[in-house]
Amino acid sequence: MMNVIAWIEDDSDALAPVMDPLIERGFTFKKFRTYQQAIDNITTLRHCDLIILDLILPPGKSADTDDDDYLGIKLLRRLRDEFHVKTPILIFSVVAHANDVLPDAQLTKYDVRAEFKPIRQERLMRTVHELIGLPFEPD
Amino acid sequence: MFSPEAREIVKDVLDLFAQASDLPIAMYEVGADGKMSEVARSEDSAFPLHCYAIWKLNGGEGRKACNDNMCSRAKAGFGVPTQETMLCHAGLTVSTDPIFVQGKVIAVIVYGAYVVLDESDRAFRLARHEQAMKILKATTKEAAHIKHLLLNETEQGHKAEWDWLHKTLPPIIARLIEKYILHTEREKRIQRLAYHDVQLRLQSALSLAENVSRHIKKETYPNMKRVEEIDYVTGAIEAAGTVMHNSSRGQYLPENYRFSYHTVYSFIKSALMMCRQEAREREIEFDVDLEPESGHFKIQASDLHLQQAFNNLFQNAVKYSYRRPALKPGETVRPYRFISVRGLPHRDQGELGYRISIGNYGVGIEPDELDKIFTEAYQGRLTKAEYRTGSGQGLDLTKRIITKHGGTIIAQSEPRGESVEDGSRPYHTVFTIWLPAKQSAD
Repeated sequence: MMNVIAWIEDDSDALAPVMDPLIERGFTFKKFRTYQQAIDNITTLRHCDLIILDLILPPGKSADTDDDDYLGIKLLRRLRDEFHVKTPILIFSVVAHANDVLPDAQLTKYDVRAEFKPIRQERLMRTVHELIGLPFEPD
Repeated sequence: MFSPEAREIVKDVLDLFAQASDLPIAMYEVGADGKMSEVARSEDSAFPLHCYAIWKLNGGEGRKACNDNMCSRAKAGFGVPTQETMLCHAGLTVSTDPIFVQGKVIAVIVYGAYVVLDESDRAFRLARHEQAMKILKATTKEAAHIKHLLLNETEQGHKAEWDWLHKTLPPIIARLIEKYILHTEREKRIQRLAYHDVQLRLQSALSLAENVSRHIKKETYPNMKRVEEIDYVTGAIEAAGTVMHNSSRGQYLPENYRFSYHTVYSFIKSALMMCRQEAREREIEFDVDLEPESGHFKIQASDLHLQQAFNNLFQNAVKYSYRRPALKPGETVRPYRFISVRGLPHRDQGELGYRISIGNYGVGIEPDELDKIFTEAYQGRLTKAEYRTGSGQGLDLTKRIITKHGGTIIAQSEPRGESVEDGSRPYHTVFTIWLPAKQSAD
């Protein structure tokens, strides 16, 4: 059965090489580049096996948001609190941002894991497999 | 709201005020917990003897009561968007002045004097004093001494000075704080976005390298593919270096420009290598046409600096290009997406040089912004919805480098073509640079 990952990241083109080993192992990706694109596709997110989420997201064309760089945080809150999306979520962001704006308490509250860029692929793959509940063997 | 560094600056300002006016002053803010707290205050030496005497009462409880009372005065002033004058618990005339930053009250300054505002003041002031002495359990002797100090000090205030302070002090402090806070917040944001940009590029390079390593180990890459993928790795590392220089506003590029002859093509070739990986992911191709053939025209350039400028322009061209859209029903060939690079020798006001234009098809620039985009940290309005995650430093640095070479750079951008699926209107944007072939002797 194909495992589907929703990747909410505006720079997924530049970061595409990160996900190559997962693609080679049969994972498919649905990409969303803005906050609004993610909001418009809640049903898809709900049915994915994992959501990988960056904290810095642009708003998107029709988004009604404040001038906030950390729309990933806002999206996380809405996914859990408003839309009750239970899909496992992996925050994949830059270290400084995560420490500043998403303390450990919030990671626990929203039941999310966090990994920080730059990351070695094996570590990322191990975390992805764990969150989806799949066994992992390194190459 | 106020960082430790900001508090130090505010304290220095308040000390300066206190030294100049002989009036004690403090600033207060409402914290995240909703409670009023002190941001900074002037040195104790600005406070009159009357205050010192009260502070000593009841084993130092007088000072605590004083501080609590000042917080209450500040709180009362916070809720009122204009200056308020009141008496403190022991009879000092106090002014609470709200400090506005961008239309919001972010703090209150409280300063005191013994100025007598009118005759009814005196009786009210003495009543306040009596009350404070009871609360602070002053002995008869202590109360008499403090009353003497109060009456003594009260005669010394000048109403005209007081009125002048009301008019001049709050706007000065507000301007200072606004500039400091806005500047600090802006700098923090630039740093944060720049850091994000750098880490992103490093991640890309790291992953590309890991992919090459994995495929070499598995022997799944033929030789030419290995060479090609390693080229992508080096390009990604160069992209990280480009972004790092942007984030430091070019401070870590060599200060002195060292000019030597280079072909135009050498800069373009390196810039192409740098951004190939991202262009590949977006399915964007480059259409390069340089005259004379292969762009062998030579210019005098400071190569490290000029390469940075070209890297920025190419990186932006890729970043702001629309991706190749998917096939529509009935289509068999996907619409082409390319970045055009055109170059030819050109005389500008009689001086021989080389003109290069880099055009892309994607996010545009509105007419009133065509000059503003070269301003530090400026981000075009049309980029904000989808492409906000840059630091906004690249074009400012690029223009400085081109100008230092005696060249020029302009941007043009026009809506072109039908809307793509997400409703946005694509623009054809062209950056045109002219560089002199030779640098002047000085």
